[in-house]
Amino acid sequence: MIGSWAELLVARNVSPQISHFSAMCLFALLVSIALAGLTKRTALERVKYAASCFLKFLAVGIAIGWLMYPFSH
Amino acid sequence: MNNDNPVDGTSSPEVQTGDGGGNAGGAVERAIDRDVLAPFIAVLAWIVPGLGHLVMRRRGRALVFFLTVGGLAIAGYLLRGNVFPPRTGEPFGTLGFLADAGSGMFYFLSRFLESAGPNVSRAAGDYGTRFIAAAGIVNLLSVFDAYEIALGRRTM
Repeated sequence: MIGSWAELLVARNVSPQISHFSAMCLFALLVSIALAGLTKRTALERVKYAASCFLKFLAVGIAIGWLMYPFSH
Repeated sequence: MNNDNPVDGTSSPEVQTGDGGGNAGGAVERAIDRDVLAPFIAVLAWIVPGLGHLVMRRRGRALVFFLTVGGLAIAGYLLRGNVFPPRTGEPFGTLGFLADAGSGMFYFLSRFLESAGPNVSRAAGDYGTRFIAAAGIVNLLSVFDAYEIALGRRTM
């Protein structure tokens, strides 16, 4: 059932339609939540850490993207 | 002073010694139990992300790990990332396999979730490869965390 569901998604070409930024956001969000769950004790601390980590992921990703920009032209 | 309370003076140390011996014995037993249980919990945590924490009644952390590892792995498969087989014949392929296999059951489900095979000719497929590897690495971190908690080295 799972296989047929995945096949359906792939056959409809739904999955690969994702922008670079969206992929980065999804990755940053999931990894930030995992790191917060790993390192912090309370729910509030986890939320704060996850939000902070997520924003830092985005900031560093965008900064590195702009640093590499001259090399692509 | 001792003559005023001879019973207390003699009985207290004996009781304390007895309790101390009992506690020491219990502590040794618990340490042995932990040494036996910790690898078992680590294996559980590897096979099903979050299960090691769930067994130790850390439900919040178990849910976080299951959702994040599962989310990363399934997103990687839907993006048609590359799943490294056990024998690639090259060092980086072996490292890729170790990272991918870290996600436990999601690695073994890859053949069902990504039945169309990888497609790294597009950027999305390349992202997918990183998502799958990240899922394995995050789950390995959770395995170490569960192991440390089971050994009593981490209280949180």
